[in-house]
Amino acid sequence: MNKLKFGGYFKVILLGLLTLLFQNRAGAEITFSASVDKKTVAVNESFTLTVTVSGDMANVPEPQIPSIPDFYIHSSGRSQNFSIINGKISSSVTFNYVLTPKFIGKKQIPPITLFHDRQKYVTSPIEIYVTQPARTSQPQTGQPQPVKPAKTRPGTAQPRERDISRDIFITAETDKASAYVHEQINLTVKFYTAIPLLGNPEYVAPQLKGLIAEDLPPIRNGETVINGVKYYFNEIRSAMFGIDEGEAMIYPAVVKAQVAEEEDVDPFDPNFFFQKFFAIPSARGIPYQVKTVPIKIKLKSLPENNRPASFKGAVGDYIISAEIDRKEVKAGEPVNFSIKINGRGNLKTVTAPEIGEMPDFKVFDTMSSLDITKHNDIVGGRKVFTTILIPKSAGRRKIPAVRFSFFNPETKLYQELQTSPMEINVLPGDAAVKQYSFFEKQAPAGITPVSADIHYIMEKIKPHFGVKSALKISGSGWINLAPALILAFSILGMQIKNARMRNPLLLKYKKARSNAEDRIEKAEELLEKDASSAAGILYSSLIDYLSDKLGADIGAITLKKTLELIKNDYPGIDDYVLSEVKTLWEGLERLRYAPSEALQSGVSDMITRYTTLLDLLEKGLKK
Amino acid sequence: MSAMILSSVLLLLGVFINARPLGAAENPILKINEDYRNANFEQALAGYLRLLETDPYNPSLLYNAGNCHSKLGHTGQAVAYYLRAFNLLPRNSDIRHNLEYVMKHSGQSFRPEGAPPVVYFVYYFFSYHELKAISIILFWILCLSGALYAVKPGLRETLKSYLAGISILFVFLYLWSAMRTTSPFHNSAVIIRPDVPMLSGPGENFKAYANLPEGSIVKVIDSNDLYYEIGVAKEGIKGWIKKEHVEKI
Repeated sequence: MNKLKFGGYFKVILLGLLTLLFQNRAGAEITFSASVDKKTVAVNESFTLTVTVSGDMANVPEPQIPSIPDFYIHSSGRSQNFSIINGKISSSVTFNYVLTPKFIGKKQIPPITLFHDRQKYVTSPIEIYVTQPARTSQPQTGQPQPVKPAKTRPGTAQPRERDISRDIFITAETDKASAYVHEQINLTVKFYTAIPLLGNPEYVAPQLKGLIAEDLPPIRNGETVINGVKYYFNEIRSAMFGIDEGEAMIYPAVVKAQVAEEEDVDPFDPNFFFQKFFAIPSARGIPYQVKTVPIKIKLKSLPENNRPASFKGAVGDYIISAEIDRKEVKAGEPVNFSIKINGRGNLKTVTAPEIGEMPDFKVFDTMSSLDITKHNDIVGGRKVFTTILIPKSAGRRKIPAVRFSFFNPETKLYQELQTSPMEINVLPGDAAVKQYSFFEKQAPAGITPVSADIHYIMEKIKPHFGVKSALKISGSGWINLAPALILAFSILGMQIKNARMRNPLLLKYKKARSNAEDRIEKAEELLEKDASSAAGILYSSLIDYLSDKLGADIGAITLKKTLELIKNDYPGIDDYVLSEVKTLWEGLERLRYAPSEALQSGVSDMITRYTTLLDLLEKGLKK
Repeated sequence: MSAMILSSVLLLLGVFINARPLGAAENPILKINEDYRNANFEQALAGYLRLLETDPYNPSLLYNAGNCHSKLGHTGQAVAYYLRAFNLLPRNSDIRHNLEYVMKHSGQSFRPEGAPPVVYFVYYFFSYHELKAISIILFWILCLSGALYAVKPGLRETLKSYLAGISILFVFLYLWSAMRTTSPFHNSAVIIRPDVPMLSGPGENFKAYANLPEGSIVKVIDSNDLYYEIGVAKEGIKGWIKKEHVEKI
């Protein structure tokens, strides 16, 4: 019985796991698309690229926008929506970008990529036709066109002494020199030109310290007169938000342009502009770069006084509301409880307000959606935090009021708002409890990456000895044959040694002469001091030599037997050689008993005779 | 020979130990770094390139030059410099990140799809040169120990297990370095101009049958005075491109 019960549980668990697996698979479905609001634009116009990601998931990944060299691109906000129907979550996020063409012609927005769950999603490339600006329209965005100056500037009568810095310049200014942390600061970078440019100028956005930036597209342009000179200008705006109190920095923004080299034209000619204009095709370009001065921003901390307990760092001006998607549910069924925060401020940093204790409900994770707007260069929008609540039991259940507070930098005061409490009528639930694809409330989500960039430079340059040593060794070439040669010679040497060890007679035969010569030398050295010993050395040397050559112990046999042995082993040997052996043998034997005065000269003769005989024996005793 | 022994010691030390950075007083890098910080990327690039003339195999300098190119919008050159730095010091997380970033922005994938990140990290932990250098050192040790084994029969029992261990390690590292020669980053080149035509032969009179985007990493197969024969593994195509359009790594 127990066994059967266990088996039943096992089946239920397995079924549950399969259900979860299936739900996860189904959740991986994503729809990814990109579209533009117009496919033909003038070079001085902008258009909107909309990238939409939707699918059955809570967290929508951000698409990877590729390098688009033919356009300037600025983010103009995003809007996110999600719905939870019967526990199934589906989201849709729209990312908007404003694009401004750089060049005329048929251009392409390359495929945009999205990675999710190890899957790669790619949009189709979009072709854009960039046309010349209409004749009556404003000059090209990003490509200021030449105009005739309203008034000839004093000093231009000297065309050779051209001062480009007065013709082209860039300014950067913020609307505030100091601001509270998370308060919006608008940066306006304006690029002015009074002369024609070759090609489009390139804008390098400033690096920031202690600030995060939001684009405020589109690029504006127009014309203005400064000190009597007519300039065309391009204006790029960004919203900045301070991260922490202290001194923040906006480093220089840079514009790089190609300026036509000055031609010989008469500046007083009424057709001055047209002369310059038509001179452009043949003109050579001079690279010219202008940059803004760094701007310091003082970031003030938020006041400590009157800070509400519910304050979690929101700065701006907001309103709050709350709603539930139904007022009557069965116990065990989910209710979506949404808190909406609308207003102006950096909503990306606004976190979910605390929901009070709700013992009558099971509280699940909170999800957020974000719509960012940038109307009139003010960053704002709407953020919705949705929490799934499941009533535990039947009855009238209360959702308490939610408090949200923020600091308003305009009034310099904290404001605390609260939603109205709500009531739900919970009916008795079904016996079977449904499976839902959301998860119980966990720890708050960590940092959400909003964009990506390359990592900073390595400020400390290490010598990297290991890397360089590896390069040296790996390129060392032929020298690496040396150990192989050492190994080969060692093995060869050992093999020779082993071969010799295996045939000692042959070794003795081969070394007989060198041994004999060594002992002759020794005898010569001893000759003057001890002639008798020298004679003994010569005698034993001859016996050993013949023993080694014949492979027999000659010391144990007579001279006659030795000579017979030689004749048997080497029948071709000359009789003269044998007689010389006999003479030397007998002579050395005699010297051992000779008187000392005759000994020295006798041994000397024997050395000479023995040396000569060795040559003859080497020839005669060849195998 | 002594230089090689010294290099071996430095290699073994240098793989795991970070060497002492130069002091502030003797370090010309501070001014260049300041240029970079102030967004004077062209000046900073010129400074890093100047230092690279005397220290061409310094991964930090190559990485910083890559950063300048990246900030200046020179995608191809940025990929080339990061790739050079990566080929020398592949385990550096900054170099990996930036190479991955610029590759992604030029439509390429740093890590093949489906390759587990940990395995990929380990596979590229040592540079090809380091693997080759360690293999060479092991080869020396193996040969000299083998010679000792041959001439000193008394040491054979002691040397037997030691030689077996070194042999296995040597074969493993040798195979690893041999496998790395098939990597897309080995013997490669980077396209440094937009839409470079790939020709069916080494000359203008041959047909262009593909356009390679800037920043593409290609494999160099052969070369003559003016052209490289290159292969694009992902698309399975090969052709010829002008040398001036690519940066050989």
